Amino acid sequence: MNPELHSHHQVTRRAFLQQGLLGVGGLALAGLDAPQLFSQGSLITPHVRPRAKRMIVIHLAGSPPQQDLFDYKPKLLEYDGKPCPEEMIEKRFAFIKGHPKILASPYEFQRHGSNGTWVSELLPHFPSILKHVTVVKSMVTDQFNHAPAQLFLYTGSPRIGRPSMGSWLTYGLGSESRNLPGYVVLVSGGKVPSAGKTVWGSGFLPSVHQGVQCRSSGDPILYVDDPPGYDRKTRRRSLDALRELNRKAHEEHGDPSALARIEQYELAYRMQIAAPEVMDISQEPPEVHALYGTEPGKTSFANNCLLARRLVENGVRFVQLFDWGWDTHGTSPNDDIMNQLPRKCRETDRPSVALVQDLARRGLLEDTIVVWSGEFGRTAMNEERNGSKFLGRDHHPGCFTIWMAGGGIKAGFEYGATDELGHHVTENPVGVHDLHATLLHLFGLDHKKLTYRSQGRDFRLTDVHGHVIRELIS
Amino acid sequence: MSRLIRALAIVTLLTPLTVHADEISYPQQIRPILARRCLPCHGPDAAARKGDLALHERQLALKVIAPGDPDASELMRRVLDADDRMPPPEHGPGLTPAEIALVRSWIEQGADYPPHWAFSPPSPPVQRDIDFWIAKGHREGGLQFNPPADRATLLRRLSLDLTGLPPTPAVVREFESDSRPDAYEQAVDRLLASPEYGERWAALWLDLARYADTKGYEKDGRRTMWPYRDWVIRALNRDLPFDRFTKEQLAGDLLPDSTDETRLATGFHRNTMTNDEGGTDDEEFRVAAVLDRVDTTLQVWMGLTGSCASCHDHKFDPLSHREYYSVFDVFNQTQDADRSNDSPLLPVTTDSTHARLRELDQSIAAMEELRKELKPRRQQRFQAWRALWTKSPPQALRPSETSHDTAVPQRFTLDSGAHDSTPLAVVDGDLEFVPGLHGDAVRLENGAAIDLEDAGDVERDQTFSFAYWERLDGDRVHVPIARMDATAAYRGWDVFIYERKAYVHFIHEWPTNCITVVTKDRLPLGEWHHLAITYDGKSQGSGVTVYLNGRRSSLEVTHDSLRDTIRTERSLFLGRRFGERDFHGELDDVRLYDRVLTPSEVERLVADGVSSAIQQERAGGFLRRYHRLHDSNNEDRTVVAQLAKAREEKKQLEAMIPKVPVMAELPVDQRRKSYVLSGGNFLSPTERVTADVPAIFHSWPTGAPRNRLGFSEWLTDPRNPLTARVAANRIWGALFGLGIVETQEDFGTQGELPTHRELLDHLALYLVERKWSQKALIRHIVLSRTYQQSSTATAEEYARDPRNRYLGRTTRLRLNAETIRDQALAVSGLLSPKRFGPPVYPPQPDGVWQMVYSSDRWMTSEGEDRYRRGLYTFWRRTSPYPSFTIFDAPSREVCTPRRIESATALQALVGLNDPVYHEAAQALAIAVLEGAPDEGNRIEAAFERVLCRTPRAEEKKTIRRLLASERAQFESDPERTQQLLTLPTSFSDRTELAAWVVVCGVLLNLDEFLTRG
Repeated sequence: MNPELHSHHQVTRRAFLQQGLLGVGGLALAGLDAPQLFSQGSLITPHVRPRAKRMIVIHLAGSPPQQDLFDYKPKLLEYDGKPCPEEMIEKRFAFIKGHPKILASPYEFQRHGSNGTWVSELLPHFPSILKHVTVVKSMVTDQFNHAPAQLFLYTGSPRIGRPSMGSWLTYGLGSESRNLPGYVVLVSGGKVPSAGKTVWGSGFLPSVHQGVQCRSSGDPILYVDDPPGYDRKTRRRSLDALRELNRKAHEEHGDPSALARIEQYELAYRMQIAAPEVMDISQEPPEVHALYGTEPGKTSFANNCLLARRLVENGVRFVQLFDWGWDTHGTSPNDDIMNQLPRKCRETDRPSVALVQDLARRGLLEDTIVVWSGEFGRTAMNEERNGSKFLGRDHHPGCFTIWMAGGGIKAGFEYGATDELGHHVTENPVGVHDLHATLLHLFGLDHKKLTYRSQGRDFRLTDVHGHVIRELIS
Repeated sequence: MSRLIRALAIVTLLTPLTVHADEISYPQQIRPILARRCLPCHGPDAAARKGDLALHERQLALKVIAPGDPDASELMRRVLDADDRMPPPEHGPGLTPAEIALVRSWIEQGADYPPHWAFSPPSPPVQRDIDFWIAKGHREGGLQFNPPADRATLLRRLSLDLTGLPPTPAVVREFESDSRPDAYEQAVDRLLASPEYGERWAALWLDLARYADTKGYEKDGRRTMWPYRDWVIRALNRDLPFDRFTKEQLAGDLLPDSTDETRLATGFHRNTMTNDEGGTDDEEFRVAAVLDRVDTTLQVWMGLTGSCASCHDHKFDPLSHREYYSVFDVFNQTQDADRSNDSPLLPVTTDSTHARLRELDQSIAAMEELRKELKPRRQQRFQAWRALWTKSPPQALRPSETSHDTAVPQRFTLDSGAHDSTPLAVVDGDLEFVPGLHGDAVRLENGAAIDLEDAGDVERDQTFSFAYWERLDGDRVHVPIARMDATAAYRGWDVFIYERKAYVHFIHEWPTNCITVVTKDRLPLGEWHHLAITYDGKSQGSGVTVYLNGRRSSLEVTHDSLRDTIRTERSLFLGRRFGERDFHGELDDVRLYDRVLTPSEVERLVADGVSSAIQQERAGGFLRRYHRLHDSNNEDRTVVAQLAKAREEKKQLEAMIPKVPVMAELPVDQRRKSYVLSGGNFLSPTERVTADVPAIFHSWPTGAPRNRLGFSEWLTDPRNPLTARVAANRIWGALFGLGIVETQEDFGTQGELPTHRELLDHLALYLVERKWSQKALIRHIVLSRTYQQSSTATAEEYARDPRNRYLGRTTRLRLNAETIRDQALAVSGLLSPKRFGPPVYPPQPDGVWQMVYSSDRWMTSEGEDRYRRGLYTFWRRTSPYPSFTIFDAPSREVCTPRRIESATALQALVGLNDPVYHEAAQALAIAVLEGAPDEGNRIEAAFERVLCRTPRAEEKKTIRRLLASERAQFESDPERTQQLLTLPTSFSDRTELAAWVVVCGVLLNLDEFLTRG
């Protein structure tokens, strides 16, 4: 039913929704009237024990070639340089024209870890965290252009307008931090991802749930620095005056939103102190810098990995890292798999490994999920755009590899397989909605019940799809 | 209605479980249960329907419902059956006991399915008065009207609502002392007539129109849409009737009286995104744009969530998959097709440009006429010259084959059977010989090219020249000659013809280490001409000379940074640089030299061609051109020069004219066939459909064309139950914070029900009766007692109606993103009154724009453009102005029917720290200090400017305390004072000013300032 006049506790809830400030306090966890808020039943599935509290997603924007990193395909060597089988060109390509030729990986692979996971020589550090990791070789998507594929991976829909996964999580669970946003985004590689800021947008959810981009140079958060000439005391005294005036005005007009406004400014004040502190990695000991390969003051993927650890340590729910430069088409040395790919691997292998190790030794990995992924896979064929002599691969939605660690994800595990040319998934396909359902499940959330009503419909991250892949859970 | 209101009252007073004691409301109580639990499988979506059972219509539901007898109803049995329950457990939980009780009572009472309220046209209510219906709601809910707001508050409210700007203290004082009985009405009329009215209401419309200054998607490149934005402002200011406003935007190109103005209005639907990402299928994104137009149209005019039906039958509303695509067909007939140039485009000229263009056209026509008159004499001279040359060519130019041959290290005559220094190897095509200027020439098209292998392998420190004849097929890119590796940063050299100008490149690495020179002359098309290029080996653009038909061409050097080798392994190609379709036309007599040719040598080369051309019919164009150059009689040369000048000016003027994407219908013989797209996928067409409207509504107007115009007539037809209601509701929502239907975006069966249905019908009819005048409707509303009430309320009143659905007071509204900034600029005196024109770039933090594949930069505006109203700010879809986003502005990628308000700490940070607000605080402080003599007056003046009222005693105390503490602080720290004050001022007491800046910063962040009370 649609009660027209709201009872008082519903007001509190609505005020909470709209004025939830930084997403502090989860709707479900705050014990508010969740059954009425959500379409059916309780948000938390009672029999699911939450395994994860926080999540860090490392996104390789542009999408790395799985054949050169994880999905070892010796059969490609046999066909290297020969026209690919007809059935591999049934679908549309983004750039390939004519009949493309097979491109074997130019890199050596070796088996590592207790279960003998194949890893390319481009990732020399990665094997050391295999004991924490599940490698999924059977990811599939249905989008083969960057922007829609990124939107699909983060919002469950290739079209614009849906909330991203981080927004859903902070909406469902809130933030654990009183002073920091619940959902933080860090970007390296010099560019924002193709789909722009909509990949961390809150869609139809209140904008309090949108990702807040933190920056390692300039203001760590937009507008967090006082104007020149202000110091903390002046700021404090001006906020005291503001509070007094707002409180007096409230006595006059009676509108409770004026009180929320006071809290909004107090929170901003706390954030002004907390954000620069957490974003300042120079206080980390040399040993940590050595582990990650970080250099304070720079904008780098390594710095962002360390920042991700500091942010989750301080109660941030969801940290999303974007690193640009993985779109290895092979049109020049700046986007091929002989020069650019090794360069990107050198930049990212050690820091992402360090992040998992660092979380593990601090006991955070137990309830923090780390996901490493691109938005789709790349073809087993050489793109040869306009006869280019540089080696590269086109976009391929049919299969790609991701890895995950922590927060209830199985350790030392491999899942799924592709055919011998690495074109199709042959075993245990994992769709984007399945991945979402599984990740939400680890947070104790039933993906069918985490809904939000907009334009006459209950929306969810997984739309009308998705299955929890229980084999991925320890 | 009485039933509705009664139900409302009951819901307020009773717990839901006891509701069954009274009459059950189907739309309020039963439909939501069915919608949630049953309709996904037993609803309007025929494809998803299970067991051939549907429950959304009574006739269909009677299969399982026995009206009046729940126990005999299969429906009741199934929802109660523990073993075989509906809905099945895998589809979700079953009905709660309360829900079962409701359904039971409803069946007992006859299982009535009254039609959805919004799908029948509004009917005139018994009272045509706003306050009557609000008062009626008050009585039902135990509320009453608040007393009227005080005059100053009322005027601030009215000004912000109608114009988006606050009144100045002088205007407030004048209004407070205006004792005329119609003083308020006068103020309303004055504000409605002010030019700021259009700016304020346009900002709201632009969210619906998804107006932005970029194309969206990955590349999100710029596009010129601002003339459309200006059209909206002007249309609102002149109160273009809403039905006409509708028709011009949807079908301004199809109107019988269409003009450039109405065509510009169709920019509304060209605000859809265009995808320039490499590798995307234009048809896919053309279809996406058409889908967006359908969704947006249904959304904006009818409050329907059509997009559901793009993939399948609507799950809840009577809009089938097929019907959706019948509407799609209406919008599927325009020429735009996700092209990167966004065509078709409408040039939008100002009057003065227009006048100058007309002048130019006239003088061009006159000169062409003159040339025509001179033509016979010119032709006579030409014939005489030709005859003379045939008899005896000028001595200096007389061809002398032998001397040339020895001087040419490499020559390719391109004759069939010739023994050139390198045999001709053609790639990707056949060698085709055609008559040329020297014997044969080769014809190259469709990707064919000639590989000359090692020829032309020169270094940047060598002198060399090359020369050849060419005939170009059309105005496209041509690469007649290139020794260049496009995959290695374009190392090498070439001639690249673009827009009929020759670009000569010597490149090590493009574009950082290379020379480019461009001819100012344009090359003739379809006519033989000779090009010779010489290079002095000094790695400088000034060392390159280009001769066209023997005359030195004036050049522009656009790159001059060559420092490293230009040698490449790649062959010298005729007709190829990238690999395909680089040249369409003919080439003849290519010569390469290892020295710099002299002008006379070049002239002689051309003379060779003249001699040869004299014998041929094909070379007439070249000969006439050559003759013109050498004709000593200049009677038409002046005309030619003037003509060229006039044409150039015209071209430049035209290039400066903004060209706006607009709608244009395809010619009849090119109309697209439309199909139902399975799952909304453009690759899965199924059944063919043609333009039509959903069957639940009135039919297509008789005699109206089956196109966008006919559809817009259907939308604004008085029989349309939704258009006027949705429009009136939107205006109400803008003035009260919530619509009468709260879900402004959804008037379908899943939307909220109206709180005051008769009132909404009254407003909808009022709008139509007043000839769709939006200003008339706004005036009607703001003159109501309801609007003029005070917003003050007790805690008890807030508890009773917290969201003020029943308007026992006026809602205090947080201002929207643009207004918050506009207001800060206005009260501090910084706001620029400049209207219209290209978007501006007020300061935003560095590094906010990080574009993929683009070096586009935010160039912060200078001067008054820093302080323009928010709606003129450049709107990049993937990175909108950050402080607007933080205050809930949408990205404008898709239609946003209403902004969902939030309150975040980030908003507080904007108000406290955004340089815009810091500048406003400084400007305000300066104005206050310069305008009033002492502290008391200054505090009053500041409050009047910011809040339109005088401060209360305790407020003064708070301000004085802050002033005192900050004064002391800044006195002891002149350096910090210096840092704080960034605006120039003649006010000498810096400490006092600094303290006031802090105070003004506080005032600009007051809840009362950010709110409209």
